[in-house]
Amino acid sequence: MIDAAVEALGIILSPDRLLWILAGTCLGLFLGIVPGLGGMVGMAVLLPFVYGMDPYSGIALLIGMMAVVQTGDTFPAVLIGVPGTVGGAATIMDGYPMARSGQAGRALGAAFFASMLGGLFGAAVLFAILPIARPLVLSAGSPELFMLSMFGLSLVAVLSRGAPTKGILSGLLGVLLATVGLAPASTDMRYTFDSIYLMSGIDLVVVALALFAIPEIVELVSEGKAITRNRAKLSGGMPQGVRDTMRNKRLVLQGSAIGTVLGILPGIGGSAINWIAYGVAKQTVRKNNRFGKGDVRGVIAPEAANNSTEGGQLIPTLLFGIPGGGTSAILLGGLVLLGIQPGPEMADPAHMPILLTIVWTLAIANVLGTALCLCLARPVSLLTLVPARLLGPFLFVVIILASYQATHQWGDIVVVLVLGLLAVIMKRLDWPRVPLLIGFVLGPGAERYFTISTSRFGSDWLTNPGVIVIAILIVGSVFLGVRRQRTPGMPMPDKALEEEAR
Amino acid sequence: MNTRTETGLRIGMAALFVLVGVGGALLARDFTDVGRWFPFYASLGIACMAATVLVQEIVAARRPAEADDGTGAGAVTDDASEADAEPTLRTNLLWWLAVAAFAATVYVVGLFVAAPAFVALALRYGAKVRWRNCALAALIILGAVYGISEILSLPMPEGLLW
Repeated sequence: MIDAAVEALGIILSPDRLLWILAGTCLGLFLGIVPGLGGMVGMAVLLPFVYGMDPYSGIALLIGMMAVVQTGDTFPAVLIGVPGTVGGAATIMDGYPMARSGQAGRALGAAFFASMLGGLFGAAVLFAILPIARPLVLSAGSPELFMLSMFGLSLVAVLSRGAPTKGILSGLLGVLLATVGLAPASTDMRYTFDSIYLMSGIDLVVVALALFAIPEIVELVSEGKAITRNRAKLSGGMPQGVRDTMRNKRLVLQGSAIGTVLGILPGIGGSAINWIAYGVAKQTVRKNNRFGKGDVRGVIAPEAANNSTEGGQLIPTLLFGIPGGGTSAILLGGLVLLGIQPGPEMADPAHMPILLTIVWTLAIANVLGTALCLCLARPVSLLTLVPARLLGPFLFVVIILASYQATHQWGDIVVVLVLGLLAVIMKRLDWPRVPLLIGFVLGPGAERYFTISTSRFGSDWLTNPGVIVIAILIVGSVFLGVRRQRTPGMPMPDKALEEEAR
Repeated sequence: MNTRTETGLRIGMAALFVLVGVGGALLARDFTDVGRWFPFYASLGIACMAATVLVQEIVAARRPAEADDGTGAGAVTDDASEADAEPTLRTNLLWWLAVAAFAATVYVVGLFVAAPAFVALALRYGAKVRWRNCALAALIILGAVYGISEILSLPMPEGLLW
């Protein structure tokens, strides 16, 4: 295994392949920075180019792009409160408030470094797990996946900022919204009102843009101020952000482990994993009363998780041909174009150099992407000093353009406007919007796995050991979350924290 | 926070969600057994939660009014805060309307015409930028949108006319 790893490193360190990694990394960062595009668009764009390339160069290009989309999406999430990809939504919760208090540099530094560590963790796990991946993936059936979805849904009570009734209501609205369209296990067209657009359901990108991008930018342009007026700490805080990440090693490890392990399980999805990492971090850290208001730990946890997810998702993609997400699904096509057939035979020693080239590319692209992001942070951070009314019109054009890219139908734009209006009013009235997105993300998976579990096992699945363990986790996490909300331990005065922020 | 407008909005929002929940549950009755389970119980949960929130909002709305009966001070505070709060809400909605109008324009003339026009007008009337700079910004957005569509081969929303 070690010999094969050294051989793969030699293959990938050739100048032309390093250039392909650089090209993929630059494209990945660009796709992450522009809201609404993301890894799927990148994969789709790259597929025609990889045809005819040698497999190692093609892998360098595809994996290089895939590895850093989640790093680049931190820029819009932190600086303007717009998710670059759906996975970036959790980072907004604390990253954007930090940018508004003039700590954009600190948030970006922490996020990029956590992303890099998470990505390296994912690559290391991918390397270590190759020999034992098969039993691990097969151990999680539909009952365990249903319970994992319920674990994510249980976080709505924790993430509802002291308004649990509104939080649960918001989460249920998300679940209901996710049921629009063709039912997963029957022929019901649910809540489509004879609209062809609604028959395929509402796209997650559209919902995320409506819930976060529209209200944030509308409020910014209404106020007419810049995102921040604190020039001093704009990008100068980056070393502090890196130190924050180093100080929170446990949180990085926890986020990376959640990202990798849940990434291995097909069907959970990167966006859900980030929210789970964020929710678990909020429950497990001390003095969490600043979470959601600009706590750097709320940036570190989801950022570590989202990059490590890529490593995890590659395990079922490569070893079983089961894509862990949309990007992996297109990657499968790309690998086939390169003459590589993903599946159990990939675990054969003959294919080991290919697999290990992927591992190395993932690691190199993460380091390269982080270095590029740290270089770009200062010029890009200056955007937050531009008055919002100058920036806003451009951002609105980007939002409309990005929402149209979801399914290329006018319905996307209509939905983003209608849900956007709802989100503007929800923000104005302090209704929690995060649970709505969590409900929307996890609802379909929960329904699908519940239906499969009950149709296959009746009620017997309730006694599965895995199900019981996750159920205990859910009860414990809800209990802990509710207890913390009722008795906030050692609350830190907001004024003191604001002073510290300045 | 408890301005008349916001109170009305809060109660209206909760009432809307009650209707969504009840409507969702009623519509779910027509689905098959397998397809009904999740939407029906989600709708039922929404109706119950929204009804709880509605009651809470109505009770909260009545409290300051009762306090005002005695001193009259509450009414002064409400008016003052309403004066502060109204323009923000109105401005928020005006900007949302501007975006909706932009989307409607895209539907008619397509993104390549609507985007430069929207950017120029929004900068002129929203940020008081000089016309010359607005025209420059319009050209920049046109170039950016065209460049992205060409390089990434992204389909752009086409209008009825172009």
